[in-house]
Amino acid sequence: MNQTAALQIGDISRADFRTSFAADSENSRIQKALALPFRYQPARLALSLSLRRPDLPAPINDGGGRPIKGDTLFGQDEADLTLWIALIVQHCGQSGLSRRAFQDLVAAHWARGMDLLSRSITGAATIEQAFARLLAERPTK
Amino acid sequence: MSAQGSSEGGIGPWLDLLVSARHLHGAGGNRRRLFNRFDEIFSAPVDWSLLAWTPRAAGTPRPFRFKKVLLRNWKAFDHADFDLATGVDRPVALIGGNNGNGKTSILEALALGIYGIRAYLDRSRLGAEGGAPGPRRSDYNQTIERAMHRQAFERGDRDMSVTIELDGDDGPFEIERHWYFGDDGSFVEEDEELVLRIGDDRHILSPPADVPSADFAFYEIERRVAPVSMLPFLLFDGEQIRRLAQRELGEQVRFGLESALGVASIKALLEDLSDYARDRGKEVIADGAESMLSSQIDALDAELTATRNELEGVEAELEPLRRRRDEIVRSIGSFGDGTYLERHQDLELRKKLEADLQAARHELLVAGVRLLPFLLIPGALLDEVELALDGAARSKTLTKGDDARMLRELISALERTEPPLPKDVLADLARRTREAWQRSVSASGAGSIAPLHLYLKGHDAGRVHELIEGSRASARGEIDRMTGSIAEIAAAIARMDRQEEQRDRAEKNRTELVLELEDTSQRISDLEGRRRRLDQVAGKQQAQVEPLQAELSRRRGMRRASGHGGTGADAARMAIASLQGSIAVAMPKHYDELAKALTAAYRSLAHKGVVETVAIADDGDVSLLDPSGRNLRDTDASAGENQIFAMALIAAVSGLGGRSLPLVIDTPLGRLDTAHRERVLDYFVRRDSQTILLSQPEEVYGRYYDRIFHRIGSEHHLVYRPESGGLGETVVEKGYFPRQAA
Repeated sequence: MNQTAALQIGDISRADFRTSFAADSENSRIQKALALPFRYQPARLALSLSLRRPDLPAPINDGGGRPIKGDTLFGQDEADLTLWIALIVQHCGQSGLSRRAFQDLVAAHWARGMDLLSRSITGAATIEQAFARLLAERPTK
Repeated sequence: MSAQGSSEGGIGPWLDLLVSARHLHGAGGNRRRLFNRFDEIFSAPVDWSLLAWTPRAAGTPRPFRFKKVLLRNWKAFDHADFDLATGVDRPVALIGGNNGNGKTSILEALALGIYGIRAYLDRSRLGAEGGAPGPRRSDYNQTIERAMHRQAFERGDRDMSVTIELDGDDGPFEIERHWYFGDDGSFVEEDEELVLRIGDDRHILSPPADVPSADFAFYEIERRVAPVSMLPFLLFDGEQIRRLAQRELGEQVRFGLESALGVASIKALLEDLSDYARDRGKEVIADGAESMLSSQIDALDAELTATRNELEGVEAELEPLRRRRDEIVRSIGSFGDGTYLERHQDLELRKKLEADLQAARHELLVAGVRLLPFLLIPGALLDEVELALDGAARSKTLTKGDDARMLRELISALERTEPPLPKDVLADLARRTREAWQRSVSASGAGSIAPLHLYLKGHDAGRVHELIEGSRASARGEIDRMTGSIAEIAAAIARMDRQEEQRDRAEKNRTELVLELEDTSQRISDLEGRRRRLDQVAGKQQAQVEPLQAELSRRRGMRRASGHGGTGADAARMAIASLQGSIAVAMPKHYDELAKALTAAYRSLAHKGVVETVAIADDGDVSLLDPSGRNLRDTDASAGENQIFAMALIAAVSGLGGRSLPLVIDTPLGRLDTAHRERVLDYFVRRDSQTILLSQPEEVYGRYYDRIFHRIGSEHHLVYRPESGGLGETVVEKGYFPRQAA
């Protein structure tokens, strides 16, 4: 896989994605707190929250978190996967992203989003409570 | 007051005095007061051999009608109001009810409402089959206890009442009787209350100062309604007719006439006078015995008082304990829902709800992770992506190779047209198709993949576009539906948890209460044992003191009586002889009148028509004579129709001396064959006096109903309403059974 080549959906599907060690630890904590069965579930919530911010997330310094395959993180259905790529790319606004750049971008969104998620759902004991808090904060438009 | 019978000549009022003394002082077990009153009466300088008795029935009819009957908490009735027919033209009141719906309860309410315990004691004389022991007062108490409407008792009511309003020749007369119960459902005679009202303003009838109210009330009721001995001829059912019919005809007649004339009351007076004469006839030994008796009585009285005080103390201790026991039993009963099966079912339901909750949360999680981006990510970003995807979807059409193949197929299809097209036409069509195709392909390529999203090239952006479009539209609704569903399940689980907590608390309370109940029951049992022992002691002391009191009373009476022309005993003996002579003379005098009434009634009721006359000889023997004057009983022991004879006797006795008492008949036709039904019905509804028929639907219906319709002044029917887990109750509705009334 050529890391500098133009972004391909198939590559993204096969690629590993990871975030910082701290964010990954928080991912695990939230997964356990909300009794979520999969690691990608808090990760997707984190990505959503990060994408809510108009600015780009700061790049992370370490990639010490455990990896998640692209087709797990974004969905095995190509439409789901493509949608996430489209959202991240559109938010970034930068054409000609390489796979590596895309992976870094995802790592940064994941880390920032995890921080936001952590703050949003503090005290929530169930998934419905967590969702209710997230929805209460969601943008109106 | 006037007595049961009336006496003749200048000595007349003295019989009234004796009879009323018996009514007012002779009802209880202690006859000391009665004998003292006899002492006073017999101390008068009167020739008691001239005392005579003439029955009242011949000269003083007292017609009355039942106007209203109100029952509260009586048997199957929570409440029941009957406005009964009183009109002259329509004197029949029809009350319908299926078996078990309360017809007989109405009959009993009338009997016990009017006469109280006297009805119970007297009525049973007819009911007693040879040698059966007479009813006791405690039986009456049990009858009353059983009569209390169970549901009313359970909801806290502790009283039951029957109110009967009569229209008599003295104006309105109202009898209102209440029975009050303890919390354990027990009834004692002291807890019976009777109020009599008279006149349009319902003035309460009060006894004179020195007369016990119960005796006074009974005297007034007998005077204004009928002697209690007439009860079997006033209120009756098929069973009573059967019992009467089992007696020999002469005995039936004697029983009927004695009841009508009130002989029973005079006979009871004679028994009292005999006892009195025996008591007062003993020798009086004038010595210091009286003072010795007095001091013995005083000492025993003191002991008795002490025992009774102790008894009261025990009762006072018992009462709160019993109340507490009842409360505990009710509390334990109210916990109710703790059976193993119910708990097991709850547990199963709880598990199912937990599983549902897990499933719903999982569904929310899966859907949420998929749909949340559409709710969390700003709409502007989604709009941009949607636009980009739309462009990419439209730019992604077909490959060049596919275009040429499809165009070739189109033109080939034109060439196969039937009938075949001319070559020049076909060439023109092919040209035009190619041009149109080119234009179309150019137009579809109007969209383009934005430089940002070149990775979409070669992928189906249309599906992604559909995904974003559809998901944005449905995300909110789906998430709300799922969270709503989770909230409902969670609420149901919370409810069950609260219920379980309550049950745990109740279980704990129940255990504590059971322990307390055991302790309370033991204490009650101990106290009741003590009370029984004290009762026995009091009974013995009472038994010791009573003969001493009687002896003292006798001595004092003798001393009082000795100041006049004869002793009380002598006077009483003379009075007894005179009265016995009067009865012997009076009874046959009324046989003729009764025989005429009986003949008329029997001939109207009997179907066979072979009996021309019912004759009663002076010795009370009954003959059934055919038109030729032959006694049918000589040739046929079973001559006559027994039930019909008993029924005719009832009718004749109730109308004796123009008395015209109302009749209340429960299930009048039940035991009769169809041949007698119409005759009996015709006879009873033709009477001028009031007839209250308590009927089954199968008894008075159709043509029977039509036959008496013109005489019916009021109609009710009883409707039983079952209650789940309970006994149900009977309610009274106006009108007869709907199908008959229609």
